[in-house]
Amino acid sequence: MPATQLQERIAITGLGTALAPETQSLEELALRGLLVSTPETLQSLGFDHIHIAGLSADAGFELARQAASSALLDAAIDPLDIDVLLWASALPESHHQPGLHPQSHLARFNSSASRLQELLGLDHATVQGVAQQGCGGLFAALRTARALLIAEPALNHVLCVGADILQADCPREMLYNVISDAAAAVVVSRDGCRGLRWIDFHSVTKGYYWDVPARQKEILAAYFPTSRLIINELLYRNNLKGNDITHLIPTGVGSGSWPILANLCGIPVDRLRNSAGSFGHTIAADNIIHLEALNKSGGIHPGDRLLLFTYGFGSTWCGLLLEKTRL
Amino acid sequence: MNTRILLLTGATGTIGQPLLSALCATGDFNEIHVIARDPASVPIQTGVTVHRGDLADTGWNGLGLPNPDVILHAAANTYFRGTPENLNAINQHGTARLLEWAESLPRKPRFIHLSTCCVAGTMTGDIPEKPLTTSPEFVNAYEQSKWLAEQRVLNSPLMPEVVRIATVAGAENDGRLARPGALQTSLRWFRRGLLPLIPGDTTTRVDLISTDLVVVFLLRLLERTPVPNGIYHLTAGQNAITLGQLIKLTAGFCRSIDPRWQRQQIIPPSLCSPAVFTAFRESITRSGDALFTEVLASADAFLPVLMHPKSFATTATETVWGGPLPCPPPEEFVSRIITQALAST
Repeated sequence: MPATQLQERIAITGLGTALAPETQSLEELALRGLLVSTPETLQSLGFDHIHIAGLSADAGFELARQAASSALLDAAIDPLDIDVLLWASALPESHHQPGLHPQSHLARFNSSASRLQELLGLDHATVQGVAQQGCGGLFAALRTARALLIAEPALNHVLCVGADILQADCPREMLYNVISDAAAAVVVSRDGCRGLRWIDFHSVTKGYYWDVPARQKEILAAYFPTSRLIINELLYRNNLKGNDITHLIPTGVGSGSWPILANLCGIPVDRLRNSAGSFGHTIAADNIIHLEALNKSGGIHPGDRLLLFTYGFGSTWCGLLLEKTRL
Repeated sequence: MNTRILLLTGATGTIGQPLLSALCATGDFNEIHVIARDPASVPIQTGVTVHRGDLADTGWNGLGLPNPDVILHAAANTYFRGTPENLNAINQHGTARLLEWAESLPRKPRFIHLSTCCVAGTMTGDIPEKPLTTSPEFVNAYEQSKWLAEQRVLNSPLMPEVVRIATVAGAENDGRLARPGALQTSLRWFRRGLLPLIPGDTTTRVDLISTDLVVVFLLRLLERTPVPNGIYHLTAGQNAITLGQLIKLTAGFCRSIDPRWQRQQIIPPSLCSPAVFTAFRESITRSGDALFTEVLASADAFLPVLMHPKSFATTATETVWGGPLPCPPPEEFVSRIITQALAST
C-alpha cells in the first residue's frame, strides 16, 4: 500500500478521561487563598467549580490509569496490542513516581510511564515521555504517535496518556483560568477504520514567551492573533473554510474566549462543543473530555470534521484536524 | 484684511501651538491674545499677549481682555477617558462661558469653534456639514461634551462657524505632535504586541489628518468672509489610509527595528467585527486586568471611529479651500507618524 494511503488510515480509535472526583467551589478556593481574582470575577469568566484530586501521592497517577484503561476499552484492544506508550505531562513532578523508597536518590528515576505500563500490562510497549509543552502536551504526544506509526511499519497502536494535577497548596488560578485535575488518554491506530481519521496537525512554538511570569501579559495578548494564525493555516492547507468544521472542540479556558476565537477564524459559533459542560481548565485533558462526551452522546457522524485546538505555556499553539471515518 | 485683534484659546494644545506660530507669521493681526492657565507654557512670540485664565473656572468673565475681532476657540479637554464633569467643565461650560462673554461685547466678534468629527458619535454613513441637532449615541463622555458644546455654539447670536476636525496625527514633514495622543500610545502598544484585536476590516478608513492641514485651512478660513453657522469638515476623506494599510505599515516598521517582530515572536493584531471586539472588551472588563484595561482605554481614541465608519461631507470645506483639501499622500504621511511614535520606544 502506498505511504500516503497508509497515512490516511491513521486514526484516533479510543478515548478515555478521568476528572478528579472531588469538587470545590470558587468560594472554597478563595477561602484557602488559592485564587488571585475574586470568585465573582472568575464566575463572570465562565468558571463555577473545579475538580481536585485527593491528597494521596497516587491521586494523579490513578487518574491516568483510569483514563488509559477507558481508552483501551473504547478502542476495544488488548493491552498487549499497544506498541508504544507516550506519557505527556506539563509539570515535572507528574513524570515522576515516589515508589517504595522515595528518599533514595535512585527514586528520581522512577518514571510514571513505566509504572503505568507495568500496571496495565502493556508488555509489548516501549515508553516515552513528552514534556515542555504546557497544556499542549497531549497534542504533542498525538503528533509523535502518528509520526511513529508512519516511521515504523511494525507499530500498530500507540497509547497517549496526559495527566497533571496540582499540589494541594498550589494556587489554582493561572492567567484568569481556574485549574482542575484530570487525565486523558487516546489510542492512535495505524488502521482506524471506525475512528476519527487524522487529517492534519499544525503547531507553532514561540520560545520568546518561555518565562511565563515575566511574559504573562504578552502571552495573553498573543493568544488570539496567534491562535487565529494557526487555525487559519490548518484550514487553508487543507482547502477548508471555517464553515467546513462540524465540531470545534474547545478547552476549558474562559468560556467567553471561544466564541471570539471561532469568529476570528470564520467558524460558526454554533459549532462549539462544550459537551462536557463546565469543569474548569485541566492542563492535559480539556479537549479530550469534551470530545469523549460528544462522542458518547452520538453527536459525531461519518464525514464530520473536528477541530481541536489548545495553547500551552512554552509557548505552543496547536490545532488538530480530524474526520469521522465514513463507513 | 480688516480684522486686527485675535483671541486664541487652547494655544498650548496640539493644534493651538502650531496655529499660534502660523498666525504670528502671517502678520494679519496687530494683536494676538491668548488665554492660558499657565502663561509660562506659551512660547514668547512677538505680538502675542498672554492672559492668565481658565475657561473651566466658573468665575471666568473675560476681565482684562480686549474686544477681539476674531475668536478662535481651540481650547478643549481631549482626554477621552476623562469624567463627564471634567470634560464638560471646559468643553461645554467653558465654551458657553466664552460665548456669553463674546456675545456681551460691544463689537461682535467673528467666532470660530474648533470641534471634532467625534460629535457624530455612533452614527454611520454620510455626515452632512450641518448641525447635528439630534443627539446620537456616544462612545464616551468626550464625544458628548463636544456635541453639547456645538449645540451651544450653533445657538449663539454670533452665528459662529464650526470646524469639525478628524484625528490630528502629527506634522506632515516629520510626524511630530506637540502633545502625543492616544494614537501614538496605541502604536506603542501595537509594537509591544499588547493590542490583540482591532475592530474593522482591511478596507476600513482611518481618518488621520496633519496639524499642517488644520493650520492652513484655518488661515484660509480667516481670509474668507464668514458664513453664518458655516460648518466645515477637516477630514482626509478618500485620502484616509485604510486599516489594512495602517497595520501593514506599522508592522513593517516594527519589523525593521525590532528583532521580536523580525522573528515573528510578535505578530500584528487580528481584525474583527465590532460585535467580536465588544465581546473581547467585555471579557477584559470582567477580568479587571489593569494593563489591558489601560490598553483598551488608550485605543479608545480611534477605535470608535473604526467601529462606526462614516463619511464626512466636505463640500463647504472645499469651497473655502478652493478645491480638494491638500492632504499628503497617506502612506508617506502615516509612515512619518509611525516612525515618530515608535522610533524612540
